[in-house]
Amino acid sequence: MTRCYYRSILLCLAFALWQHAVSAKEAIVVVVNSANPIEQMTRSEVIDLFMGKYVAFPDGEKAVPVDLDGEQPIKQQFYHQLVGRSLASINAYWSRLRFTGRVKPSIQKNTEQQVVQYITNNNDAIGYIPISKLTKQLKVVYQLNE
Amino acid sequence: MLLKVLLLVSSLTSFSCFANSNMQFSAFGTLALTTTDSDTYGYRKDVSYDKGVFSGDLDLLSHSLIGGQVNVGLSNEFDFVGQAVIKDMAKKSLDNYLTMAFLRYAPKPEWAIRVGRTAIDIFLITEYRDIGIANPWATVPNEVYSIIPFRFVDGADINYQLRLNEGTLTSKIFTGKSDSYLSTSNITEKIQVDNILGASVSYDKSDWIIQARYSAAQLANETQSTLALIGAINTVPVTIWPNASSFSQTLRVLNTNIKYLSLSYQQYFNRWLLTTEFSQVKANDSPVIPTINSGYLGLSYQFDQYTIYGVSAFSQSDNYQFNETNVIEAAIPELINAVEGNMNFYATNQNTISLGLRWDISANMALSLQWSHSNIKQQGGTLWIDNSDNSPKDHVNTLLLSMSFSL
Repeated sequence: MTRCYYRSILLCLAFALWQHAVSAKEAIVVVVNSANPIEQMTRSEVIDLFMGKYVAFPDGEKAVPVDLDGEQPIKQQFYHQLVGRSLASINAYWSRLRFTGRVKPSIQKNTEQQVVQYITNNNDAIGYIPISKLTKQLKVVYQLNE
Repeated sequence: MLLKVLLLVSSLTSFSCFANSNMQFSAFGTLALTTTDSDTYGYRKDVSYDKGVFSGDLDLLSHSLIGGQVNVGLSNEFDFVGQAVIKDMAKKSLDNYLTMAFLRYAPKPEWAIRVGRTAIDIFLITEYRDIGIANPWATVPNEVYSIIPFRFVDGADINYQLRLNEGTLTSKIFTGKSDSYLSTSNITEKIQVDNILGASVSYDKSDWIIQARYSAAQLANETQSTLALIGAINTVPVTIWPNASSFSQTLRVLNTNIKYLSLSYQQYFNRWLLTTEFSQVKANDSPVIPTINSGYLGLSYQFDQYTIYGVSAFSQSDNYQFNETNVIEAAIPELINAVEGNMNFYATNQNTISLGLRWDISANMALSLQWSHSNIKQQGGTLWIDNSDNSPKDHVNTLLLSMSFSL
């Protein structure tokens, strides 16, 4: 009976770890409001936008990038897949842009749900979310891990 | 002018608070411990600082600072940025603590116009030299940056950028004025530059960026020590120094045009980062300011949260030696010493090898340990607080432990 109990716990733990691994590998999509006329972006356009190099959509309209604050796994995965750099390296890079006043800091949100909400309410916003968080009000313009 | 700009932006900001405002506060800081092994040359961060770190000292002031910044979005086109940095400096004042206060107008993604106080942008890292966490090293290479005491420009700049061949081409022109201080072991004096006119262009593609900068500025004041030296030379009898009065006029630097040039390149190779810069400071119309060539090559390797790095830097300029004809030098040895000291104030000649380790404790906090070995040539120690009478050649080891963060 006791052995069966421990086996169940181990199985649960293994399942939780497997689920975590799957969710960590979930595809990340770069999304805009469905009313935004942009249909697709290239990797370099997404890099320019999230790295503060050229903060505009391909049609030349201003963009408002929305980022997640802190060190959330989805944020780490996004920047690792996009530019191959750690969050510490990204933060050092953004410190140059932010504290020299060169670039307006991006909008920071606490959760993926808040990112979804912000983009839903703002036609010029752009952000990244796990593909499972996609809603009808959002449009995918780039997918990482394709 | 700055006051007027500040009044304008504060009224706009106040108005904005009732309209469509969004405000972001952020901060950065460094707590650093510095020690060296020299009794002759005291380490300092730049030539404005009046205190040196000598053998046996454990200094907490020269690199430590804390900065706060506010970004206020006023509308889709306008925003305001204000920044203050509190640190130890030779002359403390609210004006000197204020490093940025500008209003930006960005009608299109390609264009941005900034008016007010902005960070000075004459070399690759002059804009963010005090933002410890932004730099891969514990401190920027002194050979290039210590000779520049200025931190800001009161004026305006225009930025233009466009996407070109999967990269970003950015250009900027700026104008304005600035001021700071120059310090030696016994005196600190204000230095002002006016009619600054500068341009920069950079091309940023994926993992690499190449940049060029060129600026010119006009010195807007004479230092009191120069005026005193000119006065002393003018009192020398013509029997001892026949052309003393005409020589003394060559010491004047008012309206001297100084030119700053910087060429830099940075590239990531997976975990490796290569950074190199060559810079030049030049003044054609004054013998007091020699041509200073300087540069560095830095290489770092990141593994997990750690980065090991090495930097090799140099600065080189010609030394002045008194060789005026028909002067009875034995009659005025102290005055000749003073003339040589004045003429060699900007003459920096040294090279440094640095090795360091950076540990990113978290995404926004890093601990760095850096050892530097500097080889200072005779009369080449301008970047240090010189305690000697004859500025001898020397080797100095500097150890810097710093914790930097951003919020």
